[in-house]
Amino acid sequence: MDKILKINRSLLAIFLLLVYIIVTYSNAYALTFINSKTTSNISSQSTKSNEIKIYDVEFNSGVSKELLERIVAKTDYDFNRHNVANSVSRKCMFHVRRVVYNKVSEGEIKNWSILSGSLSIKNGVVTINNGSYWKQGGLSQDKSYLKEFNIRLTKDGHFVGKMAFFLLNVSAGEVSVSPLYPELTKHNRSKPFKDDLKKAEFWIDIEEWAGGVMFVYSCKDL
Amino acid sequence: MHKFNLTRREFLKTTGASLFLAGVPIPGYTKDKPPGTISVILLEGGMDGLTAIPPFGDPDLLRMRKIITPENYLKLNSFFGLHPSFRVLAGLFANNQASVVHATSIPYLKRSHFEGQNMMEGGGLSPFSEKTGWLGRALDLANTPGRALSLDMPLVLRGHNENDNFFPSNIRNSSKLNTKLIEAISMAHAKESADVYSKVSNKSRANVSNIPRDPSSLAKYAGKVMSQDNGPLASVIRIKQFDTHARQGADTGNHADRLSIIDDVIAGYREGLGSAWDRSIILTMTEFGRTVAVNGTTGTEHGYGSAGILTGGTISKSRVISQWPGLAKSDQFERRDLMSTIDYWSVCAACIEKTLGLDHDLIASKVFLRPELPRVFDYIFS
Repeated sequence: MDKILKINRSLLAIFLLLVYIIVTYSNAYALTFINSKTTSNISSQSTKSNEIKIYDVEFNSGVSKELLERIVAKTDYDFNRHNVANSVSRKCMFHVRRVVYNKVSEGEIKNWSILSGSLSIKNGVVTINNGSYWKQGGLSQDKSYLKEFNIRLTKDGHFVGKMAFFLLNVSAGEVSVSPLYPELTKHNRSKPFKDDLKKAEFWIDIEEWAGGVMFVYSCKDL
Repeated sequence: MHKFNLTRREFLKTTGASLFLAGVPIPGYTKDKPPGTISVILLEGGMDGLTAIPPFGDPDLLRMRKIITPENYLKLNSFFGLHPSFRVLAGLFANNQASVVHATSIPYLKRSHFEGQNMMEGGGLSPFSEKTGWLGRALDLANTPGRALSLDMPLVLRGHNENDNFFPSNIRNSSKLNTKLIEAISMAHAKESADVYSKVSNKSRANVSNIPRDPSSLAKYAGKVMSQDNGPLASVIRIKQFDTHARQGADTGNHADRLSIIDDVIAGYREGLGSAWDRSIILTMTEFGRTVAVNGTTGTEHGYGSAGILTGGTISKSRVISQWPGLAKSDQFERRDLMSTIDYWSVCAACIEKTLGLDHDLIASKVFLRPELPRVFDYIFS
């Protein structure tokens, strides 16, 4: 009789152990998905029956302002520090040449244009006109980059702002290179527009080894 | 000879991503143009959601993984933070254009990259069960099959009909020779075969400029193309190397570098999409998360639950959406991984519903083959 009781106790212990294992691991595998709006379960329900919770994102105004300033386009520029020539409207021809500083510290202007065409200045805002084109191959052939100009004419005759600039030439079959976005400043080597608004020359610092010069000429009223 | 001062992070940012575009509306075939665009960033290797979006409100987080948890996270609310690598994404959170779904995963439990990635793209009931991908099936249903811009057609974009792929090359003097050869072959065939060769011939004549290779530029390119009238409605960017078994890092390091690539891609999309950003959704997905505990080489092993990042102009309120399971040992999946409490397919379904204008029940049964798939649309887009 004792022997039978011992066997029954052992079987009971094994049975309880099996039940424990099954319960534990079935919970671990269960993928439950319950929410108040569309209640349903995927496979089976686990012991966790909490609902989906929305944790709102909240920042104080100072943090929020700092974070919002991070979402800027590459051509975004604050013109508030300049006096923009709001009343000027002109149409000009232009071309851009590369300046290389490898051999000559003051820079060697290469004798071919990398960008040429015409531009319009309307109320101080500079836009590149249709028909203008980059000659740097690769991605520069995409005309949409000609819209990536955010430049204004200042009252003292300078172009300021930011623009897409293809400094490197890409041959057919080579990996394309994205443009750089240099800032156009009142460079001390630039020759700004004079009062007649006929021609100007703007130097652009880009990298240590090379930059650019924009020659603007044949300007006339729009 | 000029010098290139390239940092490790800059080098990483120029490598390791590929782009696929699909879903070009076809005149006369596409009845109504869907309302938005959908972009998927596939994070291959298993992104660590607990590092990307640290749940600092959970008392077990620092106890279990202090060495790989960023110290300089941005506090999103009283429970969740944002890794400091997400600079632009942080701005989008502030602008109410980004959300996170946490403690989520596709329903795959076995921690194999090969199986997990296949299921992540296929969207089937099990790995290798589907020959088409979930996004391809969704585009089929929206009657916008179009073509994928890639050498290979990634599984995620494969549909049943009319899908086509194309990889633009700009190899000097190659097209003329190829075109002549293809035309000769085409003339030697009839019916379907002739159609195929004719298609190849047309492709070889297409004048497509080179596409940049770094992730941010790829995303910007994709955004620009998608913003055009009759441009593609879907794009997929693949970022690899999230499999950080060793030296994962915290604020900086291997995993942080990968997160900064996601941030660059999001910034690229935003810039490229321009005004089309307002009708876009961009979502990340990974095949699985990482273990809760840190391993002996200051990395993490393959896990289960992770986090999904959503951003785009279709989001109107930033939030973290979660049924947080807890990080205590007893709360973990198989006592080692973050439990997934939200099926990520339901998140993908909501994004499809929003941008391709399909009904949830149709998406659940025809795209994800799970008629019972819950609808979480209101949590994300309300």
